[in-house]
Amino acid sequence: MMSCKLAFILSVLFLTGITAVAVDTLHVTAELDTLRKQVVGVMTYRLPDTPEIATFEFQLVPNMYAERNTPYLKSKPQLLNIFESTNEWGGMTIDSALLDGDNSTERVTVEYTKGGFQPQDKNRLNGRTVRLYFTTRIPRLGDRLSYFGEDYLLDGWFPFPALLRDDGSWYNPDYNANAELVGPFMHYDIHIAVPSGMIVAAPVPPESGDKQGETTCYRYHFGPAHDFGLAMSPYYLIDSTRLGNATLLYYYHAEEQPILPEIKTAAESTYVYMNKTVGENAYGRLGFVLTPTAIGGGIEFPGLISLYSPRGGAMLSRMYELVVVHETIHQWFYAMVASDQVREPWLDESVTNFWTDRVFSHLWGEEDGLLDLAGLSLSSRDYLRLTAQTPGGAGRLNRPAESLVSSADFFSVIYSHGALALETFDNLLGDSLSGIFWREYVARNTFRHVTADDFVTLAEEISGSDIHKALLCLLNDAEALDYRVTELTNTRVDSVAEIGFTLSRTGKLDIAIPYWIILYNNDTLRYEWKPEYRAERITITAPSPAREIIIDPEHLVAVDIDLINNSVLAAADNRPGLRLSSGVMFLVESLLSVVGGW
Amino acid sequence: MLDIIRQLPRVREARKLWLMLYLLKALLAFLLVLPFLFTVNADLARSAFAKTLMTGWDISVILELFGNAGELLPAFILMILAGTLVYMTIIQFLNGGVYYVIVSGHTSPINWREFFAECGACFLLHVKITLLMLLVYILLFSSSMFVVSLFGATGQNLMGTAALIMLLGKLLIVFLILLAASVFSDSARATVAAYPDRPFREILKTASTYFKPGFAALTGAYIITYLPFFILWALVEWLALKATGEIGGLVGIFLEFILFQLAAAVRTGQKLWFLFYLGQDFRKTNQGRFLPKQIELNLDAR
Ligand SMILES: [Zn+2]
Repeated sequence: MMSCKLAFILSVLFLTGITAVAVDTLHVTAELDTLRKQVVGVMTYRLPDTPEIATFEFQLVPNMYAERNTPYLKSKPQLLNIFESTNEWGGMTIDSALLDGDNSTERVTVEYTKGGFQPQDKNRLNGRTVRLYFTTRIPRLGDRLSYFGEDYLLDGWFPFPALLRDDGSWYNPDYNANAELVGPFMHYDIHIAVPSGMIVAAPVPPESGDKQGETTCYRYHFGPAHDFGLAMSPYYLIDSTRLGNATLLYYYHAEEQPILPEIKTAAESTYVYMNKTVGENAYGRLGFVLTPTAIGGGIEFPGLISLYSPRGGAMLSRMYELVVVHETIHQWFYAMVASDQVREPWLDESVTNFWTDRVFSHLWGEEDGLLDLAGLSLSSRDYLRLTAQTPGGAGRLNRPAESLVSSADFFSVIYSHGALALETFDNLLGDSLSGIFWREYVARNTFRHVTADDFVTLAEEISGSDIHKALLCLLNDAEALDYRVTELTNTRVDSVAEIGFTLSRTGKLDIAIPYWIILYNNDTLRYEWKPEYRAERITITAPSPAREIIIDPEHLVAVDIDLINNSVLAAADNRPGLRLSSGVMFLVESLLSVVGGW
Repeated sequence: MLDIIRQLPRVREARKLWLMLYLLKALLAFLLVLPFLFTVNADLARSAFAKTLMTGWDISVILELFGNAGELLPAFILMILAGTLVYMTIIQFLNGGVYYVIVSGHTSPINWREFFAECGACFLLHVKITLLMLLVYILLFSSSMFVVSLFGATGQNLMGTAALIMLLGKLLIVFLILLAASVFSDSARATVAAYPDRPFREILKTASTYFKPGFAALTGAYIITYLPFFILWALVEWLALKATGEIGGLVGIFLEFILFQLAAAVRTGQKLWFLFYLGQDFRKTNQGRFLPKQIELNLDAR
């Protein structure tokens, strides 16, 4: 602990000279107390010179776990159950505060995750240094902040500044249901003392590690980044791979060795693909840690990914790889291009899930076999379509996290429907513009917090007004999209056929949609429908009558809620229905055999 | 083993009973599926999207159906549950006659008047056994899941095929435990046939006296009768996909339907086969009312 403080003072002197412009440095000196399951430490922050600041606001994220009625735990019944049964809650307290070395503890206010600091003198805070002494309680089996046995996952574990707006006011996010952390981009200068023997996984290698008997003090320098997560365990084994200039590291327990190949394949192919498709990852280093948290899935931090230790049914599918691919993609859309996950979660999760689906088809083809059992296979896209179906319809995509109370609805709308909406947008861009758009989006917004406006403006700049309008509809319109073709008639007029049919749609997507007319002589006529009305009767003459008509034959509109009505046949075909029913009948007979014995 | 194979001719002798039991199952399943067929066909018959369903089980078509018939799905499930309840009740009625035939060993010709008289007389006892077994199954299922979860940590990191084998292994354990319970219920039903006048408690006692020493052998016998069915079932699944995939069209679908029904009928035969084995084994120690008259009158005792 002592040596940490000394190193800290030296580093302040050293760092002030080299800090990059516009990104501030946050200094944290702390010690992990494995006996009390606490982190105690001090955060030091020199407030920026511009804009003019009268107050200071900061975040105490662990208070999301402080008691049973927090807005965050409302959406996490599973987590709440664990905390109630162990009666171990998380939380953070500010023990004392100094402003330029003067005790100002009584000037601190804390409400839930929002901390405020009001100086006694009415002077501006610019250039002044705030020191916050904090204690963080780590809950047993939490999600972002968690311990289990001797394993620790630390995220949001020190107080960090709220986001400073250009006008000098602070944005301190409301951590409601389904919220994820939103932090400003900073340089981190971290000193943490942990029991010697702990293997620590961090987004960067330690610059030093001083062993002082029972404890070892590690020093990390990392940034720009909007979060600094750590994971540790005395039992971690480490594996690593070099990919060009990048290093991927894997921290796992001995019993997790068998699944390492799957993790590595998924992580490495995703990393290479994303580097090539949207731009080089800015950090060039990524750690994967297997942590025993309460929730399945994974959690992304800049430069570090926490994965759950896989078990059970997920192993029969590529579900686990899906998590690995998803979290790896967050190293671009989240870590590099940050967004407000509380107010505009789609910029984070919908974008990431859209790319997840893309990487899956790239790695394993259209039929990527997310689930493949006994001849029945489900692709990752099928999975998106399945989970996008909510009881009340998807509704508007561009909305704050708190507007979706249950995790299931949040998942359905933001992860699944959102990914399909962005796939629709990407399909409309087409191959050439898609590449340009996403590369530019990443290049322009690296180490920035983007907003929906940034995304939409860039789309307009690159693709023109039609796709821009379509994007606005996909993001903001609540009405479900559905294209239909009905009432196919063939009449013979002289020696030609007169083909009549009705095209209709719900939703306000004002974009030309292709449709095909397949004739009995096997010719295909290709047209486009630019809908001016909700429904339109179309009549054409052709050398042969029409056998079938398909609207949107290549599934451009991935959010179309019903694909069965996208085509119409001239002659009814009962065979699919008969076959399905024959199968279901056998299924029912088997059920009766099981329960009745015969 | 030989004893088990010796029962096969009896299954043939009882083919009318076999046919009746199979037809009951098939008819009920057919009635339950009809509304499903009409609803689904209204969507599928005019759509090119459903084409793939003619050759394979394309999940994406089924998913679209789920999505659009989302509100109908609970109705179908409720209907199937109700149908299952009706089936269970009818079976408890028929069990009286069936176990009478099986334990008495009088397979040919079946005296149908006697058969239905037994159905009526033992109905309540068979319902009681069913209700009791329902409770036993629930208890056993949860406790066997617990046993399986005890060695759950082993192999939890397996992936793909290895994980599948591990899962199948766990399922096999649960299956064996439930199977032993089902053999016990067969013993209880056989006891009802032999001693219909005994109180329920006595019936259970006799059944467990019979079941305890022989349950491993009986469960083994069940598996031996089940294996040919299982092989046939796998064959049917494979042939059915060939029928729709290679022959295709309405003919393929019809062939597949016949194959499915064949499997369903053989499943009924399998149970009958096993019960004939259990019946003759049960009679060795529990002759009950099927004691030959001569022995009853002590004629050979001198
Ligand atoms: Zn995510």
